[in-house]
Amino acid sequence: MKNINFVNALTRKQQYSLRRWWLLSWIVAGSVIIVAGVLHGLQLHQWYVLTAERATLQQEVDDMRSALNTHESLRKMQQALQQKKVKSDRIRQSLASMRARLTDITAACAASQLETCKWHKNAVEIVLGCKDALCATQCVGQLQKVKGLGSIRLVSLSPRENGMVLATMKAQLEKV
Amino acid sequence: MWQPPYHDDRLVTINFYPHAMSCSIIERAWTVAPFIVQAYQRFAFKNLELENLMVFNPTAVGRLVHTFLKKHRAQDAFVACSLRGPQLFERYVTVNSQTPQASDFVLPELKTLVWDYRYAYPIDHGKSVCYVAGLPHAVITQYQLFAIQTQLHMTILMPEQMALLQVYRYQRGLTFRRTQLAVDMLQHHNMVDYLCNTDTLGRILHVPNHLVLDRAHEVGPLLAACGLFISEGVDDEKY
Repeated sequence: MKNINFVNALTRKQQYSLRRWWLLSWIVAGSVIIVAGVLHGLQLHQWYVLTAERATLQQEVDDMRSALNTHESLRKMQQALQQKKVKSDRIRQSLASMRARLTDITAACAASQLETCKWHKNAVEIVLGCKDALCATQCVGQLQKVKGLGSIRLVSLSPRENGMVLATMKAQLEKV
Repeated sequence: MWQPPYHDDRLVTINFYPHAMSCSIIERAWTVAPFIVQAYQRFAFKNLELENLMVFNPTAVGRLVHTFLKKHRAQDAFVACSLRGPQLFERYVTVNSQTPQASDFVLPELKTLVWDYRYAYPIDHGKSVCYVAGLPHAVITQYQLFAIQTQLHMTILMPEQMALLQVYRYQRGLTFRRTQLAVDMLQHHNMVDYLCNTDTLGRILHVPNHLVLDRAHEVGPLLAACGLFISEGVDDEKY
């Protein structure tokens, strides 16, 4: 005999099924949330570690970049100094060679009196006070023996007081 | 099937009367009797909390029910309710068929009611008697709201006579015959209460010793509670 029921409620079986599904849904939802949380937590942890590592590496990169800039500027400075050194060495060397030539010239002209010695770029003009023209010619011969002087020639002879002769000579400078 | 953690095989039955209410907890038993009553309490309303099946003070009634459930830890159990009173329309109607249609019941009272019918028993000349019960919409809604407010898992709201008919059928078992029901009903002028008595109650319901109650006065509610338990079909369903 069927019942007369004034309410249209879910049956006991349906309600128990509903309760089971409700419970199961909660368990599944909770599990999903926990798993998602764990996975996201791992990713966040990894992100945090990588960020910290990146910050450290960035600091090192910055240090290295500044060191590289310093190295570059120092290299340029060294290059400039090297150029200056080369230039000064060349000048020093030219001065030394000039002094040596001057010494040789002085030694070669010991019999006469050296008045002036003008140095040009590739030539030198020597003015000597000689006793006579012969002495001047002898000086030319002596000067021809000096290393670094070439094409020496007697340019002029002009008399001076006390019977002296002012001899002007020109010579080409040669590289030693 | 596996059982949920708050599975409760007990059934809480609430019988509403014009000026009273009785709550009981029925459980299946396999020893002395088929059913055992775990708890029983009758509440009489003298301040119009419940009058003629109208719940005028659902808070007070709900508090009583809630206290009863909490006392016996039956908050998760299902609840079946039976009604008996002037608001409930009940009638045995003679029709020409055992499977009548709703249009066969020409009763003016049914126009304003939520009603249903069940074939009860055959009578002479090929006619049949159907049990027709109806209840106003407002009363049904009121009980539904009451169940929601009190957080009751109400699954059944039925007339008490229907529950007693279920008891009658249950006690007959395989020997149940509608012709015999017809004889018994005609003998008692369709008074279903007289179909069951104290002996019936003693055979199908075991009352523990710790439960002190006046069986002579509580036969009706207890039998209705058994009928509600049978109607719930706890034994029929497998979870």
